[in-house]
Amino acid sequence: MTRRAPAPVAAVDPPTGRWRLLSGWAGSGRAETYPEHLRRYGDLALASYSGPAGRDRLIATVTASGLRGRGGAGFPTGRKLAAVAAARGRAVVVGNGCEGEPSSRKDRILAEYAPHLIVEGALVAAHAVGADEMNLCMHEGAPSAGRLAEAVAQHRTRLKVRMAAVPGGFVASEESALVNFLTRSDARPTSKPPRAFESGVNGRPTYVGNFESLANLALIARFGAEWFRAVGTADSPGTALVTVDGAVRSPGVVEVAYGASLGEVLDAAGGATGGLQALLVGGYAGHWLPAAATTVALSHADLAAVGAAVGVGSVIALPANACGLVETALVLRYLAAQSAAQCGPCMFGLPAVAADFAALATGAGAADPDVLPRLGRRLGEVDGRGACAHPDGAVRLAQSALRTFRADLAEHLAGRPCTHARSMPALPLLQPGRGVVMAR
Amino acid sequence: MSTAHGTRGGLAQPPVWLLRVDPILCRAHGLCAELVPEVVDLDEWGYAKIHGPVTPLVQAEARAAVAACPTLALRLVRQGSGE
Repeated sequence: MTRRAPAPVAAVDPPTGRWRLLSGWAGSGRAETYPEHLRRYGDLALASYSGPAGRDRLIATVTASGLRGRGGAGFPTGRKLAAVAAARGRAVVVGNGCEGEPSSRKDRILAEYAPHLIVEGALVAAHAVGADEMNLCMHEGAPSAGRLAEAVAQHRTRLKVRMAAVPGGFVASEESALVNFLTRSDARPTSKPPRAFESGVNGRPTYVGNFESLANLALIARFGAEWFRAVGTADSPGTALVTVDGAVRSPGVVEVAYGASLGEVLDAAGGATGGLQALLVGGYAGHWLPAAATTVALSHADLAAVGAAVGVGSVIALPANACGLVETALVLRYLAAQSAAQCGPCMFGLPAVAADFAALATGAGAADPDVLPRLGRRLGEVDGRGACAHPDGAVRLAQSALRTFRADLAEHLAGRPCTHARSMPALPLLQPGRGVVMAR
Repeated sequence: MSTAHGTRGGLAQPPVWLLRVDPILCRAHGLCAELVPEVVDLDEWGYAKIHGPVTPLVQAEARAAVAACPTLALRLVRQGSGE
């Protein structure tokens, strides 16, 4: 009887095309078991990066891959890992899957359908920075936390592993808030410096990586930088998990190559249901772009060129029969309520900005010529004055709305608010009870 | 070389000092804007807003503002020190 030899790592073909992180789900429509995961991607084989030289080679590989963080800021992951590795003291790894941004569902989808990539990515990061501890964070009550915990239990590691349930809230998953929570059980942002890479959890150098960033690390460690760059753009290599919502046929999370146009992103979610008015790109703390921006590519450089940003990588299509100003006013009110109420300019500034915007949107501002200049002044005054970037996100949203809906604004100010101003909000955040749906 | 103590045109440049506000600690007492209005404004809610560097002319006043802040929210740092 012949015994089949265990398949060597090299026998596994790396995923091709746009399905990388969610390729298992795309193939089977369900979460894969750990053995299935290993058959698809091969062993993680961290042993090939052993010793200080191996560790340096791993970080160099990540740097060469051009991977940028998927949590919002898009910072180069290789540089972050190198900074943590170089800092004094035993490092800590934190996986951030809280996804406090309500427009985004990609990280919980990843935890549900590809949890092993997240766990492996955290192991890769821990190896790279020499950490002896990893914390995987999701918000309290996150339905896929159980799936992730199951996956964690199947990996053998000498690291101290902790699953953390972080209290809800928009700013609770900001990097310094997570560090603060893991250190002092206080999920509020702290002042910088220090940054997490120099003094994070319990004062130790800390790498905080978004779940999607970690999942990419698990693949880069296996298949290398060149494979990673085979998809995407020079500036934004790889694929993006995009939460597509609003006026599309199949709202949900899709995986697309960076460099795809925003129109192609909408098509991946079944395409627009009708005429579009605008796109909200990068989350509720993101930017409005006119509907013509469907030709713009999803990449850091292309979006920066039109005054927007990738952010958390969500795209929401605003239908023609909605009022962008009213939607923005409601989101601003939400963002104001989500302030941790620590910094004055955020605590007092955001409600003031939201009130000004509401006056413009409802037409109440038409009678008061001071509203628009006051809003402009307040936006300038709030920007960059918090310990975290929460106020800055609200400022970007408001400013991009004033640009994108300029024609509407003129009508509202002339006392002629659009007919849609009184209709139901179109943005999903504003419709309670919306479930998580998937687009394939 | 262009450090805070670097030279430009052969002349030693004195370091540029900046006031930094910790936005969490600031409680809008406003003493800083009284002591060194050349550097600190207050926003409409009374919170400190830095609008320029600390010139040699007002360095003593800036130090006084740091010392006077009831919540210790102000620090004097050298430009380029990474803080």
